[in-house]
Amino acid sequence: MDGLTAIGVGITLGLSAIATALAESSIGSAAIGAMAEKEELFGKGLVLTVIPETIVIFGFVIALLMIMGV
Amino acid sequence: MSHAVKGGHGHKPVKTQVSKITVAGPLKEASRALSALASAGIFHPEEGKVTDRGLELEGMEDLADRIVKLKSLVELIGPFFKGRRVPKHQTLPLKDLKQKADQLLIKADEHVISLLEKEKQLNRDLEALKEDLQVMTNLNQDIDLGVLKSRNVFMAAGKMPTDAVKKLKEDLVAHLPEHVMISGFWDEGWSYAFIGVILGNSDKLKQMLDEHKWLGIHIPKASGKISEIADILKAQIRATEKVIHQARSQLVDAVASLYPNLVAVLEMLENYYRVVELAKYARQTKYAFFLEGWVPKSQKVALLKLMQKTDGVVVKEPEFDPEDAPVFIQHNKVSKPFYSVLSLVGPPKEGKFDPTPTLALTFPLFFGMMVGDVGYGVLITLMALLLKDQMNALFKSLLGKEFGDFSKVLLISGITSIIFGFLFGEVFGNLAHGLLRPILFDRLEGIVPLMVSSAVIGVVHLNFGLLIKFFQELAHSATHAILGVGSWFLLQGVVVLLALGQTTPGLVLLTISVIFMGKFEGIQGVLEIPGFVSNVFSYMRLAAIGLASAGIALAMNVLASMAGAVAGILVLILGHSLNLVLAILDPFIQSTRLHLVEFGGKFYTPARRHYTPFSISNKFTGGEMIWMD
Repeated sequence: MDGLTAIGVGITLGLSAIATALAESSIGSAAIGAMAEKEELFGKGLVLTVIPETIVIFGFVIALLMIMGV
Repeated sequence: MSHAVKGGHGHKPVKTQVSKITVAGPLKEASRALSALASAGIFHPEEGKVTDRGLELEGMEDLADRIVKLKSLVELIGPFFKGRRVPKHQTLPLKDLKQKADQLLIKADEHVISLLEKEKQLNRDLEALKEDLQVMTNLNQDIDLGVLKSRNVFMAAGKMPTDAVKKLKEDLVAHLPEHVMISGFWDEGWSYAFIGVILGNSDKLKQMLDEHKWLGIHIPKASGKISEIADILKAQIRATEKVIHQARSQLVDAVASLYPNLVAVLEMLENYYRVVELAKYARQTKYAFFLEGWVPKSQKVALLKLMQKTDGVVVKEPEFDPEDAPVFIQHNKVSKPFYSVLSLVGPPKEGKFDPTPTLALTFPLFFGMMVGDVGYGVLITLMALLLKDQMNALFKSLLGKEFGDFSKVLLISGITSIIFGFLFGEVFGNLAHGLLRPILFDRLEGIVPLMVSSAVIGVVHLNFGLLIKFFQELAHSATHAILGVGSWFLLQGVVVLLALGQTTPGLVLLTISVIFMGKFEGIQGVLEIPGFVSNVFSYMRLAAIGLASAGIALAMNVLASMAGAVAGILVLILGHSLNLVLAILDPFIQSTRLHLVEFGGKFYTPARRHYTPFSISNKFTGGEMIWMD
């Protein structure tokens, strides 16, 4: 793997992780707000909060493809 | 009363298991009817009708006040009542119950609270005596303390860092030569001292002490030689301990006679209050009351009989929309704990499939694939077995009552983690490298087969979801099921054809399936095509989470091998403990998500609510509630 690919892999994974983090932070704080009103919403909040994790999974898959030189 | 009702299964659509009923009757019979409903424990009152002003029951005033008082009393004296059973009490009529509660409160005040206060005071005295004794025991001179306490002497008692004592002594010799100082060891790094100077030099001494980080301590009251005072204190401590022991046994006796009545009366009051809460769902006119709710179909006759016992009360069964009914489902022993995962979004809707039994298979499979380590698997299994109650309580408090048996899910998931651990050849990462050869492949070296197998699992699981949707639709419309849902299968056939290089038949099939999808699933269905691809990608988290877990374990092992023997073991324990917590939390969340979002998204429609019957507690009491004479 050359240097530029390595930087590309880093940017792909890093940016997709940041995107997930940003999305999860808004959903998470909204979920906590909802929970404060209605405690039994914890489960639903948890499921909704992890939804944007797919973004970083995409990043991970693309990064792997880049490493393998596809 | 038992309320066993057969519910929906994974193989059949969920059918309404409850009936809607309305109970109406004369206002004067309301308390009797509502008490009977609450006691039966099978009636689910209709939500959305609760207001601050429901039905007002005669005699309900002052109930809450007495409950709060009794509850705090039970909490206060409960620890002194151990290992004895509370006999069952007959429920008292409300009027007598209130009197009884007041009597108990007075009795508790007179007999138990005073003893509690006495014991507390004695313990405080004992602590003070022990502190005095500590002060008297370690001093370096055995002088008469009375000298320091005489009228013309100013005495200071305090502690300071041990290394400051010598400097203080030097300063005293230099600036206040006429002084008496005795000192001793207090505890680690600290010493204490008594210093006496003539009264006129008190300010000078105080100023000097401030410069030496001096902290004042309690000055023992006794006078006389220090060794004699210590002997007296020891005798006083022994005597006080004896009195405390006597006071404790008096207290335990008093609690033993009071506590059973107290908890029983509290339970009765709380049960009456539960009826007040049920009454909030009811409506009243000038002379009548009216309450709507749900009962399991199999319990309807029992409820009708129960209401017949109350004069003038009429029970009707109005028509209702099955979609509006609360869902009551029972599962078999194996699949029941897995229902907790579905309960996060709600029970399955009327006419839809309940996928709980399939979860019993796929949830532990996904969990095990993500953990994939014999070491962590064994620890998770052991935790689920040995800390069963604690884990159940933790999950229940965080995620709701459906998670009360979640340790079983963890137990099965722990076992699948062990199996996958053998397949991937992992024991706490690469700790058993060379000893345990992977049956399939090493995850960190076989990333491609791991990703491919995750995607294949995803395709199979999603198609299973589509298949459930197909049968769900088949019950309503065969055309819609075959052409609408079937177009999803056709589309996957297109991918296979294109991959095999069959471009023309592939494109023809693609056009047909998009047309069918547009017609039967709407434009939304067509737009969901890229969503299906992203769903498949989403299953790659099975590989990604597993790789992260294996990566952390490897990193901890490398770190440990770089550190010394002791530090290495510490790094191993701390690092793998952290990874174990992640190995429970993340696979749980991710497996739940795959089931609820990707898999469930294909067919699952949650209902608005569970069937939750209104009930009272019968732990210490039994019998009917009587509101009025």
